[in-house]
Amino acid sequence: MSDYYPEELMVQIFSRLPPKSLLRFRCISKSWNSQISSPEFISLHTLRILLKPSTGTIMRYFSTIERKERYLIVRRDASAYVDPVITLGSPFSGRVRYYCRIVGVCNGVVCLSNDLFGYDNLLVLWNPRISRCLTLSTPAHCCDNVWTYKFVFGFGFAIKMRDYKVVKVAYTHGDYQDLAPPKVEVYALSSGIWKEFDGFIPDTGVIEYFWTQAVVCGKVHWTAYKRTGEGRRVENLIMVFDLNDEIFQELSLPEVLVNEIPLNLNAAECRELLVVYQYDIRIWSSSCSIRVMKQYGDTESWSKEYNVALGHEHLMVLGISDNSEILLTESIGMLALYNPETQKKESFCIPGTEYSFYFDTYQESLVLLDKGVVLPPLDLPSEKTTDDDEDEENDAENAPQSWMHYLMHQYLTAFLGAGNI
Amino acid sequence: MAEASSSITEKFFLTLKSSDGDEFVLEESIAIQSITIKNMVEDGCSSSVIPLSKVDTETLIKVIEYMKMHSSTSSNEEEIENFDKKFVSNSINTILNILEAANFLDINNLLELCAEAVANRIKNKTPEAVRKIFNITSDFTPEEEAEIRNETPWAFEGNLDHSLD
Repeated sequence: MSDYYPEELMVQIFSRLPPKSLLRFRCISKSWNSQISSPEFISLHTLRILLKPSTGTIMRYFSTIERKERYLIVRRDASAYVDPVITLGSPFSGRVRYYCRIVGVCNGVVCLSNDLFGYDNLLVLWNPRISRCLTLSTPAHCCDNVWTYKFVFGFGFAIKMRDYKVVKVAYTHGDYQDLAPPKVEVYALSSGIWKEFDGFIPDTGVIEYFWTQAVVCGKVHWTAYKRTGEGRRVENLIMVFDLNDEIFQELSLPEVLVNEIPLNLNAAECRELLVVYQYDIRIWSSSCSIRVMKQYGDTESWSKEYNVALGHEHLMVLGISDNSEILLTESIGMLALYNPETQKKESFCIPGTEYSFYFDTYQESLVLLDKGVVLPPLDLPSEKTTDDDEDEENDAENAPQSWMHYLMHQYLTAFLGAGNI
Repeated sequence: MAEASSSITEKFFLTLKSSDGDEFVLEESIAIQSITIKNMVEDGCSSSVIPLSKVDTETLIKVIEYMKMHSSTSSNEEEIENFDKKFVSNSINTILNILEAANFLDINNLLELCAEAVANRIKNKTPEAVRKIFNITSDFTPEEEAEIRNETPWAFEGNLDHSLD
């Protein structure tokens, strides 16, 4: 072979490598370090990742044993080999009481907000696999007094510009009746700034705190409501924000959901389809109906696919597996897999608080390698040393903890083996 | 001018000449998987020998093998799959040479096959092994290198492959 291998061909090869190899190969030479960390390379690498099916999953919960937020990432390669579970702490590390809101997960990046248990309006993009974190600059508007507003966020990838965007919709608190138009701002990762949105903003409301986003076809979806005519009557619909074209749109919900209590509805994504969960939580029974929009954009294609009924247990649906089993949490932080046909469920004692569980597919990437700040390692042993006063307690709990992680690993392995969510 | 009926069966042949001076006769319909050759044919260079100054004999033989197998008429999918699997088990240096040739000849499928194969072969390797394979000298001081390693120590863990193939 000639002296030096052509750089363009090395880029062809390197852009097909997994992030772990690339992080290692950064120390080949200075020029390769800057090549691998360049926005152009990261963008090329991400586009190649998007061509492959998602190979991992991410789970988050607030551990009631450790009193800490825990993230678990499971990777699976082409040969279905499952890597040991990677356990991480929160990037907020102590700046957040309990746990933060996961706005969304996209191409290896987790968008977090502390609006659930904090009031300093912090929004963070985090790539847990490369330990990079980016705190988004404070938006110019709608944070002069955070008590005045409630926020709804959306996070996703705008493939046209190959850019990541966060949309922030700020409603005036307690403005249920009047629905004053919210203030909207859009953050683009490439520019690093928030821009005030000056397009059409629909007069729809979103239930505060309990909203979820679902990104399908490059658009963010939230279940929302709209005032109709006189009085307090509202009708439910789906509010859409197109991340590529930066416009708001609306989608109709199935007839039966239009007059449901807005609080009972949540948007979700399942195998690139838009899904709506309809909860029915009563004292002696609780259930969830899952409807799928089978043809994106065709509101005639809404179809009720699954029903979960769990007697008196409260439940929260986390995802649906390929073989139509439903991952959910029960009231006391039990993770369970439910089969809607046999109505049987398999529970796993994962001690986490009820609403802290989050489950999503996860695709490792290099995104933020050129932008984020390196976080100090947040693995289990190193975090322990920071809690001096709790050391003894932690040691005593070591055994159940490792048992728990083993169990979690076994569980996730089995779940992944059964088919990706 | 050939009759319409005979032009279907009539085969055109091209002569490719490697950088070592060896000549290979190949059906035009097979050779034009290479966009570079296709362009030459369209520009009217097909009557003479096509010199491929950047491709040595060993590599050209492999490339021709690949093009023959992948020409649409003669092979089924399973055969192609098995062929590709065997093809990428060549030594890493051979694949790198074929990758260069595929780039020069503009054969996109072959380029992708080789790039993917090399990536698979090096993904578990140590930085030292990759440096040797690509003939790269590190210009990092030990401290600078340690800093990168400490940023993501987990990327350096596990059973890393020190071999050069």
